[in-house]
Amino acid sequence: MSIEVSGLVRRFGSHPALDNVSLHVGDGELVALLGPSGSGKTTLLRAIAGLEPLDAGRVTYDGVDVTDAPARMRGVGFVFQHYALFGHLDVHENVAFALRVRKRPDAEVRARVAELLDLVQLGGFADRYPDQLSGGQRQRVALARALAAEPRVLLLDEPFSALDAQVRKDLRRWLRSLHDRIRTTCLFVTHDQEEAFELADRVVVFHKGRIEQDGPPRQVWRQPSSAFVLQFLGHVNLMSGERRGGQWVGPGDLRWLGAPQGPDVAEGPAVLGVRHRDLAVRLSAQAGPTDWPVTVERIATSGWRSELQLRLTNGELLTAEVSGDELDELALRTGDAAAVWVRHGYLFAA
Amino acid sequence: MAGRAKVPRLPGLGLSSTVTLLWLGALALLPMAALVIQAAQVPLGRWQAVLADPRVLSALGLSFSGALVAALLATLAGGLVAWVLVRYQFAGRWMMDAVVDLPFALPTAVAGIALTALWGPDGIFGSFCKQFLGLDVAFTRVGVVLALVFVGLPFVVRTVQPVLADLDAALEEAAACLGASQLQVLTKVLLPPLRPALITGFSLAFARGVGEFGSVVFIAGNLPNRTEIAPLLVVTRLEEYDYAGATVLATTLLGGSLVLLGLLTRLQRRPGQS
Repeated sequence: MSIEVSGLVRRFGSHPALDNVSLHVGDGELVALLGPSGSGKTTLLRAIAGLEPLDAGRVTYDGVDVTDAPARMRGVGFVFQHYALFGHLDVHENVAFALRVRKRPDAEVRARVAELLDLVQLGGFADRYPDQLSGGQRQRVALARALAAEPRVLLLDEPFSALDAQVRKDLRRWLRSLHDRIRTTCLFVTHDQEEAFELADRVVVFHKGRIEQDGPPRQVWRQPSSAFVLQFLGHVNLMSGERRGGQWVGPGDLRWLGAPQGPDVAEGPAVLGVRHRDLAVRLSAQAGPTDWPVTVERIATSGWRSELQLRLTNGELLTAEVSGDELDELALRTGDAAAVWVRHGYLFAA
Repeated sequence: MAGRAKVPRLPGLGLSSTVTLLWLGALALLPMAALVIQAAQVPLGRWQAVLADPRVLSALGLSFSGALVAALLATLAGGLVAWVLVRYQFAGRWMMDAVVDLPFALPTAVAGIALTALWGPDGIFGSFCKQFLGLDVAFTRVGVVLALVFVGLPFVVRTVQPVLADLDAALEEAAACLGASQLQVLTKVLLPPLRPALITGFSLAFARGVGEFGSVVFIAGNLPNRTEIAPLLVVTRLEEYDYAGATVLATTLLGGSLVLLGLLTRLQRRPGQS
């Protein structure tokens, strides 16, 4: 089923949680709504499900306007961050809930629940109660429950955020393979960019109640549309300066002559963004004429990669990420002088 | 497990069990035992005579049935009040929250007089009921139930409120997304987890209602065979120096309450738990 929302507005007091949001989700797509907390992504998901009253805008399913339809008439499957399982019902009856309220015959309910519990690999857990399950198991019960009535769309609100790192990783791979099998249109909310990028066909980035960027994961990663997106994706140095004569000039006469990734910006105030991976470090002796001289402030090693905190002559602090081998080669220590150069940089008008 | 049990914990099993037994024994069991011993000394014939008295039967019947009906109404109304207090934000909510406890603090006689003034034939509500519904409240059994609802309500609100506050609002949303109607959300999702608290509140309101005296006697009018409650009849018998009669009545009240409360405790067990 395809979903179209147009001009959605939702205010909490004077604060707009959704500020004129429009989005089209095609049939069978798996879309991630990504953004920091309070950016409006959960409000949009709830609005699509019919759980959130709207101040303006329309929601349509396959071209049919459902804006005023209550949640129970919409046929959506919704998975909540904290599972929202019915504690007084066992796993079987939790999964059967949607069929019970539709008064389906008992034999059909049993067959369907058994099939769903197999699907979420909880075949032997039918008579357990939710408080006897681990977090990952509970969320899989919640998924089976949401799928029971064959929803036209599956909506997941930060489904894995309450789980351990390893369980989270397993469950999201499992969800991806599940989606590949059942091809139900699927939207999920996350603040974890890794999760969004690994799982989704398309990533929609939210900022202050608006859609900041919308595209396939690789495109969002390679061509962030704004300094906000670049920063939100993480591991980046942002420096204010200006575009002047085809160069970027920063404080302390810092200059960068390279061509930006993505579109260039006009002359004037501009922010230079350099991912930690894209800030290359070399010894002062090998420094090129346009390199920036730095002092090593701190070296933090975690596993196979190391993060160097580098102080520029103008006082700003930059972070560079190097591999363990690179660090060995450089043989740098805290307090040493070194030089950096920008491998890839992004420019945004400030 | 054995190793864990050795870790000393405050206040310690010895101290806490001593306090518990002492409290149960001295404050609850001893007076009740005295009553039972007294009752055992009353000859069987006297028991039959006391309990055969229509006035006694009427008073016992009114106390039990009035307390049951009032507890039922208090459970309905108290459940709603708790719901409103937990789920809605509105101006003056803290005040409403505080007012719920008033029946606890108000001397019951004051409450009784106030209720009589309001619901009596000349009172604001009383005259309204008389004029438009043709219903007398004060000095009838309706008045008795009204007073008992008044004293029972806070028990229900205060037992249901915290449980309701702990219920995740997402449960209702989950049920709605799964296609449940509002009635189904209520009966299949909200009431089952609230059931133990509702039954506890009902039990407390009922127990209080059986023994309630001060708030009832003013509005009841105390007409023998009609609006006289059993606790009042106990006092009347005592004033007549009819200790055997008072003992039989009190023991019957106690026994009846015990049986009903025991049944309610059994009802309270959650399905799926042993």
